[in-house]
Amino acid sequence: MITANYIKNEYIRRMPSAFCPGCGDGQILNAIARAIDHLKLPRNEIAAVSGIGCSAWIPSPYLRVDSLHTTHGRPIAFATGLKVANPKLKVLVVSGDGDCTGIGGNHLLHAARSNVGITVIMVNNGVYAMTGGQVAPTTEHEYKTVTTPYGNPAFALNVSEVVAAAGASYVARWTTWHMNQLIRSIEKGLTKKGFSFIEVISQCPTYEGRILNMDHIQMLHWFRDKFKTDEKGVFRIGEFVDIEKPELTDELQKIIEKVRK
Amino acid sequence: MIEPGEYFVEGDLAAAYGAIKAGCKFFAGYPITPASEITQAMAELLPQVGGKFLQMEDELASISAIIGASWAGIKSMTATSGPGFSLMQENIGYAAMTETPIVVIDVQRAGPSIGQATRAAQGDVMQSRFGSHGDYENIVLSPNSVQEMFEFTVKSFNLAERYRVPVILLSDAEIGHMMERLVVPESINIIERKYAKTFDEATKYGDDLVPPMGRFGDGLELMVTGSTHKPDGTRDTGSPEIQSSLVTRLVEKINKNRKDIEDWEEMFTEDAEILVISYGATSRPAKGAVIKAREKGIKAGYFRPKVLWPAPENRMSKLKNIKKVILPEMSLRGYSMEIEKMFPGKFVHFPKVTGNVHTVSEILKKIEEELR
Amino acid sequence: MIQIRIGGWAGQGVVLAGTILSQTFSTVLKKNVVMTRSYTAAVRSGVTTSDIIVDDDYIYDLMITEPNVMIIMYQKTFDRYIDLIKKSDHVIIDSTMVKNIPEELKNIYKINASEIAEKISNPRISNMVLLGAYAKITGHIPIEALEKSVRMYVSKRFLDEDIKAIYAGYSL
Ligand code: SF4
Repeated sequence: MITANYIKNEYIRRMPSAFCPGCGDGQILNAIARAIDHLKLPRNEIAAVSGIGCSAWIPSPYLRVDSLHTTHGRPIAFATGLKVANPKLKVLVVSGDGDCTGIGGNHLLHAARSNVGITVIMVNNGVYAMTGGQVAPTTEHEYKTVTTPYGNPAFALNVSEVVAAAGASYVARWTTWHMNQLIRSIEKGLTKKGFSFIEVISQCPTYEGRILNMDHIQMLHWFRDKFKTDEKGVFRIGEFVDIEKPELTDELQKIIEKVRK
Repeated sequence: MIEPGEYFVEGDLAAAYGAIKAGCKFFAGYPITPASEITQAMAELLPQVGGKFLQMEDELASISAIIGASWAGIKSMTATSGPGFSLMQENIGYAAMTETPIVVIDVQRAGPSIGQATRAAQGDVMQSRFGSHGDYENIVLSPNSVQEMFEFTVKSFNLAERYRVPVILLSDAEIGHMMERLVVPESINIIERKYAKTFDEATKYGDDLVPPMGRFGDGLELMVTGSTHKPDGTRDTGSPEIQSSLVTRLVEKINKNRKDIEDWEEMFTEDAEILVISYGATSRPAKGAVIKAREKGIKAGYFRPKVLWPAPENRMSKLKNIKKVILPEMSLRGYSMEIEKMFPGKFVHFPKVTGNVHTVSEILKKIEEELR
Repeated sequence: MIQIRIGGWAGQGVVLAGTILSQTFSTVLKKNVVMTRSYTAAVRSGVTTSDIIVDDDYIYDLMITEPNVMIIMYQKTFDRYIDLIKKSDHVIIDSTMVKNIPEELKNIYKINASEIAEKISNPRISNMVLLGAYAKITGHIPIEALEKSVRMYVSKRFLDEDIKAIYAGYSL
């Protein structure tokens, strides 16, 4: 039987957790482990890459696979090199919203465009959490953060929509309230040939909670009530893209075969 | 592919040939003058040897991708010039911290900033060694011919694999765009990476201070991080001892092996009273000028570091009788801090920042002036 | 030592001419050769040069200081390098493109290279006509050596017309 203990022993490194109590990052780690387990993927065929931010710690050090913890904003670019160098690897990127769309936004667009067969899980908590709750590209208009003390003058990026437009093979958005759907999507992402992107709206009770004036339970309930498949904009959840198209490492292999004939 | 024999090619192409011969199987780059010819050549050559080429969205991505590929066990390289080299600095430090073998070619152009894209300069010498933040050591090579663009690229890979460091091939627009004879030899000495077979092996090192490297996909469950980490890769961002022992080892593994890494060329140094120290493109006219000076009976000597960093300090410190040291270079600071440090009170800087290399007669004139 | 500068405007095949001539010296005639080029970053405009230094000994100087030969294909290039032109032993110009020449200059060989090239196929091979003329005027290289270098470098499609062009220049 797949018990919580079994998942822990099999996929998660025994170390004290660095996440705040009630943080969504632990749930996401669990979801990743369960998805890997459902797929019966050998651990040596998976490589995890992350950048800088709280969510970067989900795979590094906690996930028991080869992990590359890289510089801020660059995990997708590192992952692209890793994947191209060894296409047999399932390369999983876990990146926060700031890492993925702020400092590293360009890499996200181009990875989706080139359809490189990696899976990106973007943990979206709407703030820069690790550095103390500053405004992020995903922060809602007029929200107050430590760097928008008078309210956010800009608007939140609808990341999934952008990634879909950039040409990804698979795009889905869930919240940490929607764990079963999330696990299903990670499974799909990991088996998808091309670029897959899963956005997870996650609770950061420490900073986002302060902005919203909620604890983690209240936040989860807010996710349940606010995020719907028939909602609009950034509150819409579900699978947005699920297509098959030529994948980058396959295309590179074809070039090699053509040239060497 | 690239049969042994004679070629007439430009320096950039010779570097690409060298990379292929060294076993490079992955290149990620972004177009920039005067290094684009390397990128273009790799795009054409790599698939022919079963390798892979990617043009990335920028230089940040290029260097990230080659570090990622290196952890998959593939020899990887990128090539750029000033503006792109500046963008790469953060991850050069990352490669040093994670002990990832990579080769970065910087074909120097006139700066600062965008400067003159097609004109040669030697203003990146300090950046090539100190460009990333924090304490680290890397290795920097400086070729002065098309032949050396080939040979030093091979050597860059060998040193990168041997010492698990980022190696910079510091060329310039003059050498990169110059055409000259290239002889590809029958046999080439290639150093291959030492792999760790177990997680445990990857955490231990011997006298050379270089641990064998793990490879992603081998089931070692490696933890690689640019944060301060214990020998087993676990992040430890609080312990003073871990920070101190890690950073010290990263620096010491180069210092301790200096004898093996340092490389230079010298002529007439035995009895020289005036020494011309030079590197890269400038070392060609510098040598010519010293030969001419000797013909005139001047006790001139010539010294040229082929590896700029670590600098051949031990050898330089043993050069006695020298009354003056002239450093001609295409930069207002270039290598001068290092050379002045070695020869306090004797140092004469001779910069030229027109985008053109010094001529033999300019350097000869300088030698004669300094003797007066 | 021989120092040669080929100068023209971007797109005139200056670097190609320089490469073929350098290769004639290096690969065919086994001399030491260094060729450098100078151009602006914009691909389609600006003065472009190929500088070739040939020697039996190792080459230390990478810069042209006292040119023996200047091959000039464009008026603006001619004007820019007038000082070097005055010092040069031989100056070979494409007289279709360079018309404004100070009368006191006596070392000029005027070759209507673009016109000849157009008659063969295309004014763009004027560079090849000039190389042929160079072989004849200076005697630095046998025309057969130049032909060999052209055959090594030029793709099949353009080979015939390029060979015709060098011989047209040579027989002037
Ligand atoms: S700061 Fe926020 S995101 Fe970071 S661990 Fe704490 S709750 Fe989680």
